[in-house]
Amino acid sequence: MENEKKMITLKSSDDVTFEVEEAVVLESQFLSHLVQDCPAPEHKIKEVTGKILSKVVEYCEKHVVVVVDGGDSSSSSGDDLKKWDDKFIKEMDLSTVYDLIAAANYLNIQALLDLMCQRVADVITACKDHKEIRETLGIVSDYTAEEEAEVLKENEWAFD
Amino acid sequence: MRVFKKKVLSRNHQPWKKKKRRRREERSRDDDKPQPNHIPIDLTVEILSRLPAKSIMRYQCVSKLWSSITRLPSFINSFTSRASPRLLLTFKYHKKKLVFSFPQNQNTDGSYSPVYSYHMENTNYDRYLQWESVQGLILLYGLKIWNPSLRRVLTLPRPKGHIPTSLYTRKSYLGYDPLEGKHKVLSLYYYGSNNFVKPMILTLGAQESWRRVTKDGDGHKWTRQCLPGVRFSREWSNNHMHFKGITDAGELVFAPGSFVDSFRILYFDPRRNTTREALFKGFMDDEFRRSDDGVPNYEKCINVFPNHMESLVSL
Repeated sequence: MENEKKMITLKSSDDVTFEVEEAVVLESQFLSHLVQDCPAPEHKIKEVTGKILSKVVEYCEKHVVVVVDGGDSSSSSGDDLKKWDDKFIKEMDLSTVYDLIAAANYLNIQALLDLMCQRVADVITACKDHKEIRETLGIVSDYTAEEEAEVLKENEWAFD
Repeated sequence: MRVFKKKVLSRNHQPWKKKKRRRREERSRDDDKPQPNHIPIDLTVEILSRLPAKSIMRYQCVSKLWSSITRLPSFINSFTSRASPRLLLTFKYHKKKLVFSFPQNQNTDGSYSPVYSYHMENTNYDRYLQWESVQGLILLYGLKIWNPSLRRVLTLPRPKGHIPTSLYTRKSYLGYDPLEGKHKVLSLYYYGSNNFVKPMILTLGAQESWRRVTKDGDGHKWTRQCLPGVRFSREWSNNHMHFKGITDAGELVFAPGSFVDSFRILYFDPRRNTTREALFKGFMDDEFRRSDDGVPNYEKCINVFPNHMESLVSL
């Protein structure tokens, strides 16, 4: 009985279903509470689309496997996991990253939230100036020219 | 991406285009870009708190939202608690103060190359009063507070006292109150032939003036916590290594008082009885070395502050 892996079905907002092991679901604080409180075989997650949920499942499955099988060689598996994370985020466009941040926040998966927020932070750091940041992240400045000049002057040292 | 760039270029180079049309173009361009509204404010906070201090200050000009988020006390406090501790090092060179922030633990490439470095001018009279970085701030002689991350020095107001300057001696200490999340300066004024002590406290950033602490008022008892006495092994004494403090991981930090070209920092873990050594060499390769032309390398006194936390506390 205990050796049998319990499977749970997750259904996205657009009705895409994912059958996953319970251990995978437990990566999410939100889902683990949900599974405990309401032991139904299927759970609908209205806030997350199938496209994003597939990414979430992919991430959680990878991270569960490493923790379970890692055993003593935790450091090398940690390195492998980092490499996998890097690859996972490398080709992702910003709008997917944004959606994943929202999903990780909603489902309460801290490691995924950390990874995604760091990705956006890295994008910001790679920009050469504030104008490029606005362009990349689609932010509209609400400063007047005078106000902007003032803030720039205040932090002049940070531009050297 | 390339197409998009061309669009921007053509827009900038055709100022005669009608405003209306330009607006429409901008809107259609925005439609296929991620919208800022996608990220709620609390998640913007999460993202911004992962930037280095310098980038945070630099990009306050992106929008008013970014600026106000990064000035929130809660943001400032969480930034410091998230940051990994550094080894801050300063020394004087040609009337300039050179500042280096080294990682306390090895970089992923195994090196200890500095996270950042810069120099400050006109710091001839800046002397350290307390050999400790307290949650990112350092107390200087003359009631000055220095935030190395933001390169700012603030001279605190003097307490409006009743004691003439010539009649007292003052000892000042910088501390951090984790409950309030604020730095406080305690100055003990000793005066009179019996060395009466008058304790005064100033809370940084609280828009308040110095207040006198009375015995029955706040119920403070003054005790001084001292760094533990450490006995050197002979080898370390011969290398003129001085005890500088304790890291967050409980390692004792030893550093030389001066150096010529390179130096070593020793981290000793008393529980495991292990020592690791960080060699700092060639870190003056950039602008500092260029100004070195023709001047023989001489011994420089170094000041080391272990466990320095990068801080956004504005002064």
